[in-house]
Amino acid sequence: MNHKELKKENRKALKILIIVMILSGLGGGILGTALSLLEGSTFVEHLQTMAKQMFQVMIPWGIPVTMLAFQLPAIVLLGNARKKYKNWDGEEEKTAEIIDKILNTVLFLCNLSVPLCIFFMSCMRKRMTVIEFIEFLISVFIAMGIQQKSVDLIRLMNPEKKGSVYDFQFQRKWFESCDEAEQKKVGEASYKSYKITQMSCMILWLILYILDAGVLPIFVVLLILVISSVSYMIEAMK
Amino acid sequence: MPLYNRLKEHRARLGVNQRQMGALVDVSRQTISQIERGDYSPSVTLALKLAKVCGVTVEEIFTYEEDTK
Repeated sequence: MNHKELKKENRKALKILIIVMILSGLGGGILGTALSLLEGSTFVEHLQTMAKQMFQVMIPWGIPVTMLAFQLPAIVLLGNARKKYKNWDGEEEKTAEIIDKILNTVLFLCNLSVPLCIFFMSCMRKRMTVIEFIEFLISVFIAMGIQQKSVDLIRLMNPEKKGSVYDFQFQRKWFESCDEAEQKKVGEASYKSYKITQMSCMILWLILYILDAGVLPIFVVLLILVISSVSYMIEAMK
Repeated sequence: MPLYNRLKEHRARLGVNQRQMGALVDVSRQTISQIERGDYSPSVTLALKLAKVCGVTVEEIFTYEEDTK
């Protein structure tokens, strides 16, 4: 590619970028004007009070609902996978692929449940009762149990895999036991995660800025953005 | 420009399943499955290992054909 082609490509992309920036600016201006007009309105205050009350009612149910919505289906699917594994002859490829897909879903549900339970626990904080704290502990132990059983089943099907879920070095050992294709997939997934994290942080910053959420939330979001960028660049430069 | 392969044929000729083939070349069953489906192009090292295990040349397993459309 020569300089002429580079300039042509840059000019083409720049035109689209300028249009997007103008439209975003107009959209932001309209939204900001609307918010400033609504500020102090009794309708908005009423909505805020209603939202707060709904939140206070929902929060104590957050952990049990998360367990029912995510951990219970994960347990059922895990049971299904183990049943299929027991009936698997070790050769049939379709069954092995189905078991892999089920276990991926189990781990996905389980990994979603943990941050949700932590969120609800954090919302309750000083108002948390003993029962609610026990619920939280139970949810954590269930998540750990599901992960351990899933990983054990994966290791039974793939004996080359190394690492116990309870080992602090688990992620490193597991990654080292992955072959070239699996490591490539981890790399692709990590890059996708990095891109989405970057985009999400920018959108979150914008929302927090518009809602005037204060310095701390904005600082936290931008800190995540910086950590994500720096760790990616350091690894890429190696 | 796709990479075509006849790994499944050679594996059937050897009479091994995907897990056994994976063990012979130090990769997982899933990787063998992905290669056979055309979802993954192996590295040169892995392609050479596969060829050695199958007792053929790399070109007899993997072919690289230009898209003529």
